[in-house]
Amino acid sequence: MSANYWNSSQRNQWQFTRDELTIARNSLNTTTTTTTTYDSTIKLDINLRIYLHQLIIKLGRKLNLRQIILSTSEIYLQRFLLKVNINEINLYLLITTCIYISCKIEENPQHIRTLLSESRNCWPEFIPNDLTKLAEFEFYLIEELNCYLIIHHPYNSLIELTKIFKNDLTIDEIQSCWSIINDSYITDLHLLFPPHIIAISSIYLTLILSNDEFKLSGGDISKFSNSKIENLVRFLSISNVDLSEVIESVQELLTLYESWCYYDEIYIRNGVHNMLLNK
Amino acid sequence: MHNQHVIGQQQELQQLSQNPQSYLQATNQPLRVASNDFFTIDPYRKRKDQSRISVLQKYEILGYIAAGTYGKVYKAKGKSVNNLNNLYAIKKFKTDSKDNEVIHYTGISQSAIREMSLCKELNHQNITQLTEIVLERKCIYMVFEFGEHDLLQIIHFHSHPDFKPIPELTLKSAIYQILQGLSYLHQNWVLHRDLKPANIMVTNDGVIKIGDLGLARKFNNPLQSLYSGDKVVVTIWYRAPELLLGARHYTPAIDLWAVGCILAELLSLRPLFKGEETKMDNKKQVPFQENQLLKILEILGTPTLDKWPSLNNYPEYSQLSKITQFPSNLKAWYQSNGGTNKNCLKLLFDLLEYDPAKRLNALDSLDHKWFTENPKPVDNIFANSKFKYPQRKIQKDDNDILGNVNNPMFGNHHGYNVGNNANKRAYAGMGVYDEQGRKRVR
Repeated sequence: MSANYWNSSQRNQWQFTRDELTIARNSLNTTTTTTTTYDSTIKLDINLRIYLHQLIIKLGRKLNLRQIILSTSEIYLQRFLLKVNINEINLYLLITTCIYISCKIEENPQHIRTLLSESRNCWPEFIPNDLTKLAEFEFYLIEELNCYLIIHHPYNSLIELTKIFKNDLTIDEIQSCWSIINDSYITDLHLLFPPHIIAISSIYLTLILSNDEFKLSGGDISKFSNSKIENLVRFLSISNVDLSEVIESVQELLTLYESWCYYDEIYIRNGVHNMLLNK
Repeated sequence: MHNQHVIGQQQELQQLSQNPQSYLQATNQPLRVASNDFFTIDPYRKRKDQSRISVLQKYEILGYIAAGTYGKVYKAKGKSVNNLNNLYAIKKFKTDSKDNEVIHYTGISQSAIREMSLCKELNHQNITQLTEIVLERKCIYMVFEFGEHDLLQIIHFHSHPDFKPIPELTLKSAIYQILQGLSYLHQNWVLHRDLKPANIMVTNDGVIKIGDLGLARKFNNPLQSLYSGDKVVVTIWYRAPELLLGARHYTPAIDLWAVGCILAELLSLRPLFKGEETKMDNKKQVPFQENQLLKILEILGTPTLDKWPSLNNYPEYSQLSKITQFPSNLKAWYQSNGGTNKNCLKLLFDLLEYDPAKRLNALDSLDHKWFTENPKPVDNIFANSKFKYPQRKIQKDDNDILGNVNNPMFGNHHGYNVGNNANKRAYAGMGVYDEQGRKRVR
């Protein structure tokens, strides 16, 4: 249900195992009508996902949108790209459409003209000056999402958890958790785990990263601990949270930040533009 | 070579994105034109269109039930193996189009988005069950289980041509099931915001189904006040006093007020507060609904700061003090309408409590004395009833759900807003009702 993650479509329809994600993505390459023979160098890897994440932030800032709206649109984007190959559609139009819908779902609707014109300001060469194109995509996007549009985010869990760990977390650290959650939308975590696991992971990672000794220990999180982390682990064991899921999430986030160091925006942008021009 | 070309092109694009005007002037030639698919969602669209199963392949349209600004509701019968001969109500949303010849995509209304997203998550036996949503040919079709009756129709049956009260067990069970459904909605942070007899369906088996979630919305963590999203909610006769007094922030209590009005209407077979709606003026300012408030004061008496401490914080408080003072007449009203049960009157008082903070909430209402005393509410509201209600009438002159024939009912309005015209619902074949349409405002 809409207030309860455990009965939600997010858990019952849109939560997968890693194997299921791999199978779904592999099948995109074979079943979809990739009409062009153009061999794209661009794949839906972590680099492209960082790029798409930043496109959402860019348009979101122009429209002065709240974080939760952007997070919802990132989920729509991920779910859609689980079913449709990136070279079948215009990624810039897709981003615009995701935000258009998430504004409505989060009860902060933007007029379609406002959205279209801001999007055209950002990417004039890729967004048609035709609102019916955006409205058309809205239909197909919602159909692809099977009309499941209500999303549960980790932010509420984080707020609850910071009340429990108020002695262990500084204001800066809570801010860091918040930022880590924002970044987590680049990864598959929201397709794999419940929101509270991601919230806990953001705290775990924050506690690790704020400690210099961790960097010296060679990055192995299982070997590293301090009193704050022990408090957290103790809490997790009492509260029946799956610790292995938390560790897996933390590892995935660490991988994200490592990859980010090598991220080359211009290279990805060129690739995306080439793919579009050859569509 | 190839790479150089690519990079050159990218620099052009980058330059363009920084300053498209000067770029075009400088080069004086159009951008490289990609295929027609560039700005569209092809080839994806073609693939999807080929794989889609039409609503007509799965359902046989029997006729239409009702029409309004939201669109049209059709009665349909299942055609495929797994739904053979099941009955459905298919709600087709109006598509805003520029002209009557061709339907254009103009963006799905806020109201349709809310109803679609909420119905996909909701699952309770007293909420109309959504079967599926079909998006086809620029239109949205929401397929619901069919409700043979609704409370408006039942009230009409009992008051025309002669007056025959609704049996107590039917009445009590109906209110109980409404409160069960409402309690589920509120526990899941959903406000209905348009409860009225016409929106309460009853199945053939006598089970209440709360319908029409077109004005419903989630109210946890709103990014802005509920008022700024929709200036006017709830059909005027069922609108709670805090809304009439201009509340910016309101609570689930507004739905409980509407249930109180429905309970009274089932008892007396007439709307309890049948006020006249002041229409919006051109300035798009929400008018003060003086007549509606007057109707409430006449029966419930003038509210006092003593009983409703936050009363003077409401924007329209000064307007209220201009209205003549009235004593409370609810008990007399109840008795003059043949009411004898003390606990039923108590529930009426608890639901029609002025102060929203003190008004009975949905969950607690289920333990109300009226429900715990005999006869206890039952699953089939028609149990032991001698009345047999007629089937919902349908108009058979329009089975064309896909709208192949040009349909003049589709107006023109764009963007995200919910319909902003007064919504006069014509309940086809059910006689002429003086039922007020709900009003939605930009």
